[in-house]
Amino acid sequence: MRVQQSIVIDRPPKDVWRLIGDLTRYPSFFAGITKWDPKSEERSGVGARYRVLMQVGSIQAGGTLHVTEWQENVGIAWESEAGIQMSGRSEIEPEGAGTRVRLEIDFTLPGPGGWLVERIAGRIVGRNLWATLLAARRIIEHEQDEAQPFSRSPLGRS
Amino acid sequence: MIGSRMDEKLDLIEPEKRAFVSGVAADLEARDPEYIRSQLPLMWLLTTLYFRAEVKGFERIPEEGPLLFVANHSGGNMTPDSIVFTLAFNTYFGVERPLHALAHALVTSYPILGTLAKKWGIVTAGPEAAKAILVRGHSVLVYPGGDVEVHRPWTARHEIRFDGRKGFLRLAKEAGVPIVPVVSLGGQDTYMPLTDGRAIAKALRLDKLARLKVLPISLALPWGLNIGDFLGHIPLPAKIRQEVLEPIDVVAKFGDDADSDDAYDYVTGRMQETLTAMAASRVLPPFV
Repeated sequence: MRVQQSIVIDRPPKDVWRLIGDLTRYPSFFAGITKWDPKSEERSGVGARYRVLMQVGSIQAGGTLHVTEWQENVGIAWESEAGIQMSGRSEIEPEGAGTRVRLEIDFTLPGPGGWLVERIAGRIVGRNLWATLLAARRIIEHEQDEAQPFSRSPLGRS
Repeated sequence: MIGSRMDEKLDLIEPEKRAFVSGVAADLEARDPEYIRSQLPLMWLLTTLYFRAEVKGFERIPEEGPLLFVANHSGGNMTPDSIVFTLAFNTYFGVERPLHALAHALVTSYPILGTLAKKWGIVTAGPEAAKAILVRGHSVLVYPGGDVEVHRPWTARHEIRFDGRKGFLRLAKEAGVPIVPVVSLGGQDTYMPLTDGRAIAKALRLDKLARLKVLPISLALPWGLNIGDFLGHIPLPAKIRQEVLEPIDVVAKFGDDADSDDAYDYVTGRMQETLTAMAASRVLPPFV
């Protein structure tokens, strides 16, 4: 089951990448995430590993993920190595004066009931991805610079 | 620290018990992670849509090492608590982390049900079986209250009822593993247990004949009046709440008295506090 959501953010790709390319910040804006623990010394780049869980209905589901692709200002791809069988991507690309951000999660549930649960859980995951993109847009467009108050002068002159 | 204690205990297993442990090993090998993985979606449908389960506190469970989960349970022979916990554990930690539940011999000896139960990692209850599991580094889920608790009358639905059984404390002490209490609420609303029938069971000598201390009488689907609950029943869709508490290292806390009445009162007291608070949080039982 592939779940995908995208949004356009009114900022250039390098500003968007500051958030989307920083996996350590994901738990602060990724909706439904209950655990996002680093499992490797590397926090970014190919090979970085995280244990990730998302609340899906009555339970938390997920597993250990490792980054398989990493291209600055372009995107990140990851796959699960334990737990639920899944993969995913965070991608950004210029669109007009802004940047389109696309989040995707692809997961497979085996056995009887797997097809049905994929569809029900897929709706939950889809809504979480959309909430995540809304939060990412708020942070990038309105709050990202607040975290670095000395990056520009109070009068707007650098 | 817990690991080194485990190693010491492995060396201390008496020779005559080693043979038993190797017998239990066959049952442990029957656990089938791929089978469990394939059944999780069905269990998710049941727990999420039918029982609307709410599970809390899994972040309190240590990420590694053998653990002794000590739980209350309700719902007669069709207890939903085991399904909810087993699903939550296997999705949280993955089927790669072995969990074994102990069950009455009646469960594991059923022709088809018993085979499926063993695939889930269910092992016939007994202190040596539990110890063998912990020695392997796997975790164990036990229900000290057994048939006495699971068939308690509806009027006692908010009670932890372990019936004074302290085997779980002896097990934690001997194996040197922490106890992780698990408290569940709602199972006793899935049918209407009228009496546990302890006096009847005693009069019929069921304890001697089948290790049954109770002969429950309930109102349950599809039977109406349900005596014994031997064939199970169709549980009503009551809401199930479950919470995992902070681990308790009874050896560190009580030392040589880890299996004392004090330790028993402490563990069951912690669980009763939680169960009572959970019951207080219900708005419109058994639905919300």
